[in-house]
Amino acid sequence: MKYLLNTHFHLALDNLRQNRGRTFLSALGIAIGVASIVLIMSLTGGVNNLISASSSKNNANLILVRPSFGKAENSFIDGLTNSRQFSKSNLTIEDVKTIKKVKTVKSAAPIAISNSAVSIAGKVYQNNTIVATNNDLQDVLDLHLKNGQFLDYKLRENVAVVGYKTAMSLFGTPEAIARTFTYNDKQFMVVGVLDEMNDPINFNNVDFDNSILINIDFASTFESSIQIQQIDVRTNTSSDVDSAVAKIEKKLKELKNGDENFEVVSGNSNLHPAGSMLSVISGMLTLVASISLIVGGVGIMNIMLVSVSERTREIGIRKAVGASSSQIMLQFLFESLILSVIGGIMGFIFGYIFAFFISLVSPFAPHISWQILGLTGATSLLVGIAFGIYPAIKAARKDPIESLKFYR
Amino acid sequence: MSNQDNDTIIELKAVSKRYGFGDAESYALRNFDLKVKRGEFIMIMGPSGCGKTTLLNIIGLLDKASSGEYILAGKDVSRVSAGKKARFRAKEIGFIFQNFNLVPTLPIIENVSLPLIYAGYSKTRRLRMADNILEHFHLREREYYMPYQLSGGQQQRVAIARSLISNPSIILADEPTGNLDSRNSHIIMEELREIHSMGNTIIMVTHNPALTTYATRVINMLDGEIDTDIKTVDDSELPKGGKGEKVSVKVLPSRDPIKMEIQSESDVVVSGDNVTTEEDADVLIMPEEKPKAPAKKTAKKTTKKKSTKKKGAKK
Repeated sequence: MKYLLNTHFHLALDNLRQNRGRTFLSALGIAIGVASIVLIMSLTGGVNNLISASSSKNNANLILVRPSFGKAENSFIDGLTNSRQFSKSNLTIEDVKTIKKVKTVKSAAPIAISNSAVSIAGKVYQNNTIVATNNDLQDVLDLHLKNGQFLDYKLRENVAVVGYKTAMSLFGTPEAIARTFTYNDKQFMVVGVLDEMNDPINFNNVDFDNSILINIDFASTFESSIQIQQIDVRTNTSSDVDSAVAKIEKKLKELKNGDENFEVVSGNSNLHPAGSMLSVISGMLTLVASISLIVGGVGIMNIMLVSVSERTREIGIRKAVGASSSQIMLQFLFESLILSVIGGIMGFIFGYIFAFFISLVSPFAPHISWQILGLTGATSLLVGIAFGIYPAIKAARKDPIESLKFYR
Repeated sequence: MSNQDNDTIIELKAVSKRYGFGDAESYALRNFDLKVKRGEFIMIMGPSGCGKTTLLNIIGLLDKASSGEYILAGKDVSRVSAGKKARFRAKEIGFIFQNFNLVPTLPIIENVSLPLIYAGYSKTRRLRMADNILEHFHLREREYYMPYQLSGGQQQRVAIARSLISNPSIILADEPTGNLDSRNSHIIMEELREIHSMGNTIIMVTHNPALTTYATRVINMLDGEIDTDIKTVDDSELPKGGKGEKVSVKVLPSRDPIKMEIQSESDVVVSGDNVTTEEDADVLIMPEEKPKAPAKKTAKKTTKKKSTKKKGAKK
């Protein structure tokens, strides 16, 4: 049996070698399908890596307090799209102060995002991400400053810290200290510029490179209803997290007279909802890409059918000299399997070459993993069997007498 | 072979082959009875459409009889599975066709070794055996030629080599000379005669009455039945080769047999299954290089030497 499998494998290989052009083209069909799957998976994997890299740094002792609207509304789509960001939040500055009273909490910073215009010397710049927060944010998120200092309410209330890219776009230089801008008819002075972070996807949904941080206490003086999307809390040690979560829940419930319109979460999976969104998108894209794999498979089936009818006579000869139907079937099945596996290997390589080219112009590196290799290997084998079995059966069923009469 | 009627290799009992149904029903074979003994060289003749090829296909297990019984080498094969039939074809039956039927994409040596694939030999052994048999047919120099690079006669000799390689019980030839000129026909018939004289059973279909001189038995068919059945050689005179094996004799060490005298038994190596060393055997000694027939002569010799078993996977 081992001999036979080996022999059929070599027979198939020999025959494919004789038709190199045809072999290459039909393997190419599979290669394109596999390449697109590899491309999508390695790129989304790269993005995922970026997210988890940013969220995994020092996240062990991080707790997020977010507004909640009861379980019923907390649907799948809601979870994916962060729709709560746009709805009315019921977190208050008072809550932040309450949280800070918990002993194990080291620091707590509210995040209140708004998209507004700012003006500099009469020129209006639209769509700036203004984050109202407090000076704990630097500690909570481990923000580093390029220049100047972080927000300090005691020092002066109408100050701002700008992200690196915002500094570039508003002032044309990262040395933006002491520059001023107007927001909501109030004049702000830049006291600090953040280091460039290149971390656009994070659990705060804020790209700090493109943001202006202002004091929330000051902002609440001129903005009547300030919306706090979430409160970032850092505990002293990671072992404090569970007890801190319980305490925060208890204290906030007391403060809100038993209302449970908030949720307290910790742990990586909860911290970045963007990750699950991404995996859904990548799943969809992979599904679309697998259509091209099916097309490739049909290509293999087509070429195998041609091959079977071209080699009718050979099948007849082989049967006459003692090949059984299953042996003929194996021979042809091996051929389509080899085709699809060659295609799979080609596709894997092509896919990564593409991915590396794309990574040259994008912020993330392609993700290389055994899972992708295994998946592409398994799918190409599967395609080979699924689309090779029909031609192989057709070959095996040929009547030797009729086949021997067959002239090309 | 525990069969008492050891000499009978093929037995067809009331075999019929029908095509169509009802009014369109026609018989290719009608209650056909046939007994073939080991070592027979049967020629089947008859007009077109008399069922010759159908008979050959049924004997060769390529086709299935509509009714009747078929006993091949002591085993009833009329109702065995397709897979078993394929194994029988690989080991017991050798086919020779009118149009040679070599696989055009395979070199000669692989064409010859084709039946061994399905008899389960490793590649090295297949090629070695094919090499040996091609040497016998003086085609060793052309082992890696493709079929289209050979003449018709050479292609047919390759086909004969292929039919012999798995050491079959019977060789079925469907008009092997039909596509050849008279000179090549002659060469092919000499090859067949030589194979026959080694003890092989041959059933051959032909249209050419001139070839019947080679046969030990001539069957004339008409409308799916036997018309005449003439034995030209008595059963006792049929060449013996044990189980109908090819008995290949190699002359050692000289390659020129005419100049050599056989001094002792060790000069002669007899190979083949079931070759008994106690009785006399007909031994054919022929020159290695010359394919033409006249240089041949038969010698009678008693071999007492222990037979070196053929390496084939005979069970």
